[in-house]
Formats: sequence, C-alpha cells, structure tokens
Amino acid sequence: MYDFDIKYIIESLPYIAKGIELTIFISVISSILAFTIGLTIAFLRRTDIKPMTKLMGLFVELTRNTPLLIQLYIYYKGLPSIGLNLSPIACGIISLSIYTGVFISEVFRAGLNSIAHEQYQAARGLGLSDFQTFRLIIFPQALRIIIPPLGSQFINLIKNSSLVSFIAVTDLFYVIYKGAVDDFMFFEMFITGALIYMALTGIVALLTNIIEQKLKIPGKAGSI
Amino acid sequence: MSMIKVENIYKSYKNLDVLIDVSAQVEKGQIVAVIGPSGCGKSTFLRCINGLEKVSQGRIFIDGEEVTAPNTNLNKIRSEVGIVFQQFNLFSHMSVKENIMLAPVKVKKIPKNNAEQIAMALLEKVGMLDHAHKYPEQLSGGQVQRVAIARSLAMEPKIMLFDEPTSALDPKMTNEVLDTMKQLAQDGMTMIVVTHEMSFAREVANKIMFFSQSRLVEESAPDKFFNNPESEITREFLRSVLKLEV
Repeated sequence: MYDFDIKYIIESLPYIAKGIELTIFISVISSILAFTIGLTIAFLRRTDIKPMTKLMGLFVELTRNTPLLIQLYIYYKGLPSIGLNLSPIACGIISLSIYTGVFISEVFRAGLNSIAHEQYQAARGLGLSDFQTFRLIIFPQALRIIIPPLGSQFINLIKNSSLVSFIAVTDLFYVIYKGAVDDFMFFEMFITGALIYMALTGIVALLTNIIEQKLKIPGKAGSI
Repeated sequence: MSMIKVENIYKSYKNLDVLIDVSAQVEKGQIVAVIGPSGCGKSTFLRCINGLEKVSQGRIFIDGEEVTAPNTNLNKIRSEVGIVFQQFNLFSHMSVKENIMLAPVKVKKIPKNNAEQIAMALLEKVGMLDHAHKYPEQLSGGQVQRVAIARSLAMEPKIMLFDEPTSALDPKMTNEVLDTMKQLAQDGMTMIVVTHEMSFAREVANKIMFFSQSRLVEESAPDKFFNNPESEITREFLRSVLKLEV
C-alpha cells in the first residue's frame, strides 16, 4: 500500500505558498487583461469597418485554433528576436491574456448578438448616441446573460496558467512538479496541487454565482 | 410650415422596393392614422421619419430641419420625435422609473431630481404611478406600453410616432393604450399612428394615409376615406377589414 506522506506536504507548504502566490498574481492580471481584450475585440467586430472586422475575425481564428503552449513559446522565444526582452512572467501573462481574451470575445459576441435589435432601435429612437446605447443598454443586458460562460473562461484561465511553468515561471504547477520529480513525491504533490487548483477555481465559481444573483433582473424568468 | 414634410422618398433593400415615391405633409397637432395591409411599407415609412431607417432617395423635413441631410444631427432630431413600438421595447434591466429618466438625463442632461419629477408626473398621467419601481417583466403588455409612451413623452417631443402600438395586446389592454393615446391627441400632440385599429383611425385621426404595395395610395379625411374612398384598392381593403360593403 502506498504510504501518503503528509509530513512532506506540510514541510513543503512555504514553498508551495510561493507558487500559489504567483499563480494568483498571473491569473488576476491575465483575467483583467483578457476581459478587456475580449470586450474590445467583440466591440470592434460589431463596427461597420470591414477591414477591422475581417482582421479581428482572422486573429480570433488563429489564436483559438492553436495550442496555448505553442503560443507561449512563440511569445517567449519570438519577442526577444524582435528586440522585446520581457520576463517569463510577462510573456506568460501576455499569452494567457490574449488566448483567453479571444475566447471571451466569442462569449461577448454571442451575448451582444442575443440582445434584440429592437432594444437598439428604442435607445436610438430616444436620441441616445451609438456608444451610449452600447454602454447603457446593450452591454448591461448582454453581461447578465454571459456571466456563467464568462466564469468558465476565468476558470479555464487559472488551469491554463499552469502551462507557464514550461517557460521557467515558478508558479504553483512548477513547485508541485519539482517536488514530485526531485523528491519522488508524485502522489502527494499532484493530489495537493489538484486540490489547490480546485480551491482557486472554486472561488471563481462562487463569485460568478454571487454576481449572477446580484444582477438578476426582478421578474425575469430563469437565472438571468 | 408643415411639422413633417416628406418629399418623394424611395426605400429599397437589395432588390425589394419597400417605399416607392412617397410624399406627404403633416401639420402641427394633426393626428394621422397610417393603415394598409401587412408588408405595404407603412412601418418603414414611420421609421424613415426619425431616421431609424435611411431612405434610398428623397428628402424628409421635421419642423424645417432636414432629417435626410448627410450632416444632420440625427440624435438631436430623434430626441424631439418620440417613437413607440409594437414590441414595447422597454429596457428590461431598468425599473419603470429608470426607463423614463434615462433619456432626459443622458441626452438632455437634465438633473436627476428634475428627471424624477418629470417621470413621476408622466407615470401619473398614464396611470402607472404605483408601478414606478417595478421592472418591465413584472407588468402586463398594456402597462408596459403605457410606460413606453411615458418614456417617449419625457423628452417633450414635438411629434409622437406609433408603430402598431396595440397589435401585440388583447382587447382590454388595447383599450387602455388607446385611451392614453386619445388623451395625448386631446393635448394637441402631433401624432402619426401606424395601426390596424380602424375604430381608432375613424374616431381619433383627422387624416388617413393608406399604403398598399409600397405606395401611398390614398390620403384623405377619415369621413371621406371610410365612406367614399377614391381608389378601388382602398375599397377592396376596407371591404376585407370591415367586412362590409363600401
């Protein structure tokens, strides 16, 4: 029978905590950037500027159809060759933000398209500008619809952030992997790691539910 | 000067002609009922007036200002022309009061306190004061439409456009909304109403515009229109909707 070494985990905790800290840091910054990128792409794809919508469409396809790990290496090895020397952490944040941002843009696009065109006409009919209509009428309604899938994207981001360990960022996965391999503590470290990732994503899931309930429109059916 | 002047407008989507050579005038305080079979172009005509649809050709003036001019400030014109839709289109994430206050605060830059007073006065006028804090999904269709009318009135428009305002309502709720509209007509509002309510057209309107197959076929006073219409197309339409010999 395998002997689960609790003592080893407890001794490693300060070391693991450093990894958690970095994973949280990368995830929070990347989430904010990904949300901004996603919203921007979705907004630009709704404009009448054909070259812009085509370009953004192409960018979305290129990004979401290639592995994040390859993109990570392209930014990590590619950016220095064009004279841009960034730290591994910065490269990790950039690739995670862009990759997740593209998926979020699709979530936003679906949400924005689901708002009836009549809402737009009613707002314009009252004299609101195009941007006011987007900001005050279309976006707030779309946001309520997309909160659950948006939460899933942030959960994916946290899990995907483990890939930054491939470019020598000492995140949670890195410290777990190192402990597992260097000290032959596979079971202890991977189970502990899985539980910690689950706790982190669990917080996001909980927040998503709370926000969903807070923004619920009185009288509206379902959980919207 | 006419309140609304429409000069030879055309509207087409790809190969489909929706409006063909329509010209019309509406005077201040006039109540115009726009009637005709479905797909005849009457809703498009209404939406062209405040620029929600762009005409393909021709010109439209509101109170002397050209809506169709390329450099025109459409937001300003729209803030002076209220529009009420068949599907109500209240903003579902805002309470009744917030729906009404939105445009005065954001477009006219009226202080919130004043906008709230305006909203409350209008809600009283349309008989919805008790529902100020409710959300659209908590109201009946007739109530929602009365709020939509109040929302348009909050901008103190020169003209009110109605796009089949009662077509989605049952007879009881239809009457609630028609009563509100009659009251508005008595107050002297200039109104264009696209409607299938022949009794409303007959009783309240002082001009009828009849559209058929993308053209404005007949334009006359209700008495003449219903009792002695000029064109055979009109007679046929009236026979089918009123189910009587004209």
